[in-house]
Amino acid sequence: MLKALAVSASLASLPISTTSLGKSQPKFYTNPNPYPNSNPNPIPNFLFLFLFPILHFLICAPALNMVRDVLGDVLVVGVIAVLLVSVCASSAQFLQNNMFYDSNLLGAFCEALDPSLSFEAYFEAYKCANENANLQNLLILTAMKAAPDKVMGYVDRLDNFHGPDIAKLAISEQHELFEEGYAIYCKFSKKEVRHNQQCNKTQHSTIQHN
Amino acid sequence: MQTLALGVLVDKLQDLERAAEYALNVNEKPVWSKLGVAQLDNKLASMAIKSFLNAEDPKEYMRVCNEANDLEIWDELIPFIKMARGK
Repeated sequence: MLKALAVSASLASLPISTTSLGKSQPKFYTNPNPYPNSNPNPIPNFLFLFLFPILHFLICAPALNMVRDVLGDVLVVGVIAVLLVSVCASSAQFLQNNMFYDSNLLGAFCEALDPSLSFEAYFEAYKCANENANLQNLLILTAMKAAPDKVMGYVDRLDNFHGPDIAKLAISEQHELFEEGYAIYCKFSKKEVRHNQQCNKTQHSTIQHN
Repeated sequence: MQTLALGVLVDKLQDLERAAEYALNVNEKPVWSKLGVAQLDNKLASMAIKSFLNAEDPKEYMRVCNEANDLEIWDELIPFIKMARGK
């Protein structure tokens, strides 16, 4: 996956002018940027001209299965994912439908481009690793950035994230998700009470035993 | 954690009714105490006195006495003063 990132970085840094195609360039080949808050497209239009049809071919499921069967490598799908995320609008669809990329690394890569894409990537990871606290933290934090209306659902469903820290962030001026922060505090206070009760019980039983 | 949850209701959402319900459910002294201070800030002296009585917390006696004096709510103030003298 690191190789994949290196490949995309080297593609992005090629010294090809984006204006080299001139004004007569057809509209179909203009590089779409559906994410207004994201960084400018890292891949020049010249490369996009060649990559666009190939990448769109690779999105469809049979082609992906073929790639996986032939090469059998997470790295290859990772490269495709990184290129897609960098280049075109279908990347969200790709991230939703494809299971073969490294969600953690791709999520981190997408954070700089568009938080909603990293949200999709982390969501896949969450499906795979239900008990991973760091992934649950990442999922909730990216949901705060990209889809605040989904945060409450995740707070209800997930159990293994760092409640007090996440709640503090939720009620901060940056996010202003007060109901969600309150829900997190409520959830973890119940856990705390249960934990204290268990501790008291064990202490009591050990004293009786002695 | 419970006081933090109440803090969100009181400071951020500014919903004292929900805060009172939460304190009733949790029934912990620090929570009642925080609710009492918030009610006192919002000029709800009689409710604040009840909260401080539940918390058994006489720390804010000066403010409580002043507010009760202004509103002339002597009946509510008497149990609070008794509790404060006992502490």
